Amino acid sequence: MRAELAGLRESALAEIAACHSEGELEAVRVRYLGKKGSLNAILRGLGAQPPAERPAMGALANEVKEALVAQLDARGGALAAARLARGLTENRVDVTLPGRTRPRGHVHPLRAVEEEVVDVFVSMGFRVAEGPEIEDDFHNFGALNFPPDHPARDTQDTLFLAGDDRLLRTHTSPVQIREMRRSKPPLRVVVPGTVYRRDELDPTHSPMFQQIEGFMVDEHVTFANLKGVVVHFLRRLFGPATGVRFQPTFFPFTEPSAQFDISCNACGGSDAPDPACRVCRGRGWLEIGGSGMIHPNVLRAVGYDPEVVQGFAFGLGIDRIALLRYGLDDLRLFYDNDLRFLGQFPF
Amino acid sequence: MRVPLTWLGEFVTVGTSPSTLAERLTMAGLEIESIEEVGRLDRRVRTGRILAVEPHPNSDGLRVCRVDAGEGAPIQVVSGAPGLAADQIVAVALPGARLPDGREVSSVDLRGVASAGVLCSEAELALGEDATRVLALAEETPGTPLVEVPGVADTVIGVEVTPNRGDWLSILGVAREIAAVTGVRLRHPRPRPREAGGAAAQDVRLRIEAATLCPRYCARLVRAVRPAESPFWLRLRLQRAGMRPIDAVVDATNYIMLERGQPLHAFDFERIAGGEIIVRRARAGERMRSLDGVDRVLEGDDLVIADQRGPVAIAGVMGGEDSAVTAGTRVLLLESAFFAPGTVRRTSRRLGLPSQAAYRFERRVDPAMVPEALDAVAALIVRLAGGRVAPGIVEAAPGLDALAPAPVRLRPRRAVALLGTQISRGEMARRLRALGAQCRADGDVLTITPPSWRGDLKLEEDLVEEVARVGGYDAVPTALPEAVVTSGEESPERSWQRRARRLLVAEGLTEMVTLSLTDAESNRVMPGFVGRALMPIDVRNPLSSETGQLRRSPLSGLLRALRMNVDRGAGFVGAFEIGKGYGLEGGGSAREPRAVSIVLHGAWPPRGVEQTGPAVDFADLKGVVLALLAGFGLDETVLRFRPTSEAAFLHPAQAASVEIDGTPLGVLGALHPEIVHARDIAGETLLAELDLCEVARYGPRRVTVRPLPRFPPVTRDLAVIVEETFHAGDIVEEIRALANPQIETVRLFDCYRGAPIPSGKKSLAYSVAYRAADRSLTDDEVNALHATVRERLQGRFSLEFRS
Repeated sequence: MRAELAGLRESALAEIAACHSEGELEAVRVRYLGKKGSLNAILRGLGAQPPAERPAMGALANEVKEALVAQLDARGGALAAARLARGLTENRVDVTLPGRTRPRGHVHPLRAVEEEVVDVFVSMGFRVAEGPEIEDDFHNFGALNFPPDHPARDTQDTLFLAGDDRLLRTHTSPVQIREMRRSKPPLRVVVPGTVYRRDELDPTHSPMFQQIEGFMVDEHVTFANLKGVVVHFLRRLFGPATGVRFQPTFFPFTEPSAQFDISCNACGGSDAPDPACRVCRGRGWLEIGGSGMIHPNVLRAVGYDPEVVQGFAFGLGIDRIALLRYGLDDLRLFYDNDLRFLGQFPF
Repeated sequence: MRVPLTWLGEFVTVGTSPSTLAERLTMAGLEIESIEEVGRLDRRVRTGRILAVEPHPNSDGLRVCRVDAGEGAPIQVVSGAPGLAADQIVAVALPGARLPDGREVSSVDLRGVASAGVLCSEAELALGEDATRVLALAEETPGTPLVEVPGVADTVIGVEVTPNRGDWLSILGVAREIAAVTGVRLRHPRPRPREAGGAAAQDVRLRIEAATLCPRYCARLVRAVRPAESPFWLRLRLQRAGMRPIDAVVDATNYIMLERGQPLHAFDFERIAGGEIIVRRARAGERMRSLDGVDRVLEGDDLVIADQRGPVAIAGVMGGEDSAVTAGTRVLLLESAFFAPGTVRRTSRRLGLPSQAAYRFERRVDPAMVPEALDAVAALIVRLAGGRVAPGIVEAAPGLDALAPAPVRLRPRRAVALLGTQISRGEMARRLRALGAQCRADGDVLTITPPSWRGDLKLEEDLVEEVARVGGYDAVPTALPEAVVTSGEESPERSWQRRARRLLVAEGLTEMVTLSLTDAESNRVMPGFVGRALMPIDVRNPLSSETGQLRRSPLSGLLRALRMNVDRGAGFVGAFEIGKGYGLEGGGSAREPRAVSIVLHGAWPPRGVEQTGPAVDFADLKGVVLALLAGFGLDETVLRFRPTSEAAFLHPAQAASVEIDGTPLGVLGALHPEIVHARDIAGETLLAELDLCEVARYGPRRVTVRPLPRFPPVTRDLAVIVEETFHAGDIVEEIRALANPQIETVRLFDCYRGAPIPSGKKSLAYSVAYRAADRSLTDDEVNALHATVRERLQGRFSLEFRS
């Protein structure tokens, strides 16, 4: 039996050493140390040994087993380490393969700019209001001091709707009337919205476009404050160094009235305009919007006393801001909705 | 309006460059749109005197001219122009001259005769439109470069005049403004004609029957005129200012109108029946043939100039053909009047006859200019076309007093309070006087009488603007308001829109903004969800039938955009619009509900390494809708998707309405095959539309957080064999209806057709998760629960459980 154990030990160690995979090693382990393995087969003959030799034989068998286990573990560890090491160089991922993406969505540039403009005014304490696009003569014209048969109506080429006294609002100012009739000063309100004019769609006109209008009414709001708010807003939107100027103009619903321009951001601007600049056509200034002190007839139309309260209003085109912001010169891009265009806006 | 600076220079001396002037005027509210240098001709384009005209030896159409062009010896020029004669002063371009169109003149041989130059027409020199003959000038020294002839080289500024400032629609008006804002002196000559013969009043009778529409009417008689062509200088000015020369009489009326802002009209007096001018309202149905040869039917609101037979002119709009000045006219009746702005505007718009005259009347002419312009035009006509001006102006002015601008009170303190800047009372008065107003101080208050040409100054605020304008808006400080600190806020509706926008973009969809206007047919087939009960609204004055109606749903715009993108090669379109539908409710009132409209089309873009992604299908669309609704706090525990055939634009077997508590929030499904066919859109197209306000109304206002579970769930599967037509969701609904708090979730995880399932049937497998909040459920408890579920289903539906 001693000789058997020695033989087993020798052949097992040799086999272990010859193993080149963890699978082979496991097979060797089962063959020698498994329930039905060679070691157990030898140990089953222990009963046939003389009683005096049994403990020594048992001890020897244990010794052989421990040696084999130790050798199996060592070899197993080495094989596992080798496998891991191999694994680190195999199973390479081709990192240049395409990612598994979902389609990306995009916010329409007009909406992105509108949100941005609204946010600036909200941060200045303005409340947002909206109103209907289908309007009547009173809100779109009458209350805004457009007399009937006045040439000022020519500047608002109107789309009229079937039915009595229905039209598509030509500006967001009707909401000014609605909000002032609904509430009392002090008021700080900003009104984004879609408006309509009877224009064919071309690079600079659209029958439908987006406007934003703001107004403030209080006891002491002045023309200087109008300038302050508009300049603050334009510098938030176009940068702190943006030049702004106000020039007299005419709107029926404001008096005094002022158009406001920013210095061109595509060329040298108002200081050194490029005569060939396509954006400002060499003028150095870009017309941005209209404004003024709310006309006393408008204040009266909403039931305010112009001797007690006064206020300013301003309005500008979101489309125009978006064109400037993205360096575009064709309004149709916004309403064509070509995905190859819309896909270029990253959010 | 176009203002040639040489003309302007007759009224003010502009000491600055045109661009500085333009800047100054723009900042005063008179916006300069363009500055154009004109008539900068090559110096080798000269005036030349024709010494002799001889026939061409080899051509009947050509003439050989000897011309003194200041070259020492006369030159020989061959020309085919008609009407050439000795002693004419003409424009001649010498060899080497570059013409405005870029051509360079050279010496040539024309059919065997040498020609050392070209006789030029107005058109060739870009000085006018006439290309039919050689430009002929009045006395000039031969050999003068044409560019040195007064008026040829000029700068024309384009002025944008706001509707309130009719007084700017003249050279004089612009000059007056320059004088006011720059402080230079205005020259205002008032030419008067020499009068001769019998007094005009002997021959002309005048009656005004509509004093409010015509408060002032003046007329002059000019006898023995000889209608002729206007001289070059006048034709040039008219054309530079944008009007076409006709003949001396008409040109003179236009010239004075452009110069002084007062429209004028000339009648052939011998064709005025009875020599009587009657200014009255038209009789309804009355007819008159206007100058352009069109028979006009008049209405009671129109103002006409009539003789004893009938209308001879539509006041301020257009003259009549019968009384028009012709080559045979001998006696002129010149009209200068103030017609009420509203009547001229209504009539000119109704008849579709805009004109320079109507434009000015609509914006109010200066009542004081009426006789002055009449004198000026009479004097000019005599200069151009001869004739004798009969003594006296025939005038009726029944409403003259009412035309004078009323005095306006200006409280300097009020002006300061409105502008937010300190300006002294004296300075305010100075600025207003510079504009021609009279100022009187009454204690603290200034009483301002505006000049006759400023009909727009009626209120104190109008004067405040003038004070600020003359001083320059730049002089007003820029100051943020002192206001109570309050927070601004978005409106709830707009914050919903923003949320929907972010959610759908996160789903990979791109936002679109499409036109609210559409054509009737598209609108008919595409009511969408929000427009399902709305009647379309017609646009009364559309630009085209393409934009003849307001859309009932944004889907009509999205569908058009889809078609366009597919035509341009898009294989996948995932888009949405947050926009309105428009229409009339049953009661006839207009509504404009806010929709979220979605379109999915084509095949998903490849994800990773594949040729293409799968074609979009209903489940994709439903997934997008669920994601959107989940963002508003609505999930499948409260939502129900019901098959619907009510949405006529959707495939009746592939459409659902999504509801909550029986209220529909929207619809979704495949585009109806008929529309697919009509629109020729290849590939799968799915549409959804939700009413955003309904969605937001049902969405919970606040989040309630449930505690995290402390005990594990136990899941049991459940497989059933059902008819093909069975709705898988019904089982989920039914299990939920048990309302057992220990049934946590029910999820369909397999749907199988084919062997061993009999045909016409399908197998559905669900996973049910059970969990108690306070302990681990035992196997027995779960088995009991599961058995309850099976019983419930068995009792409700015709189905068979698979083991």
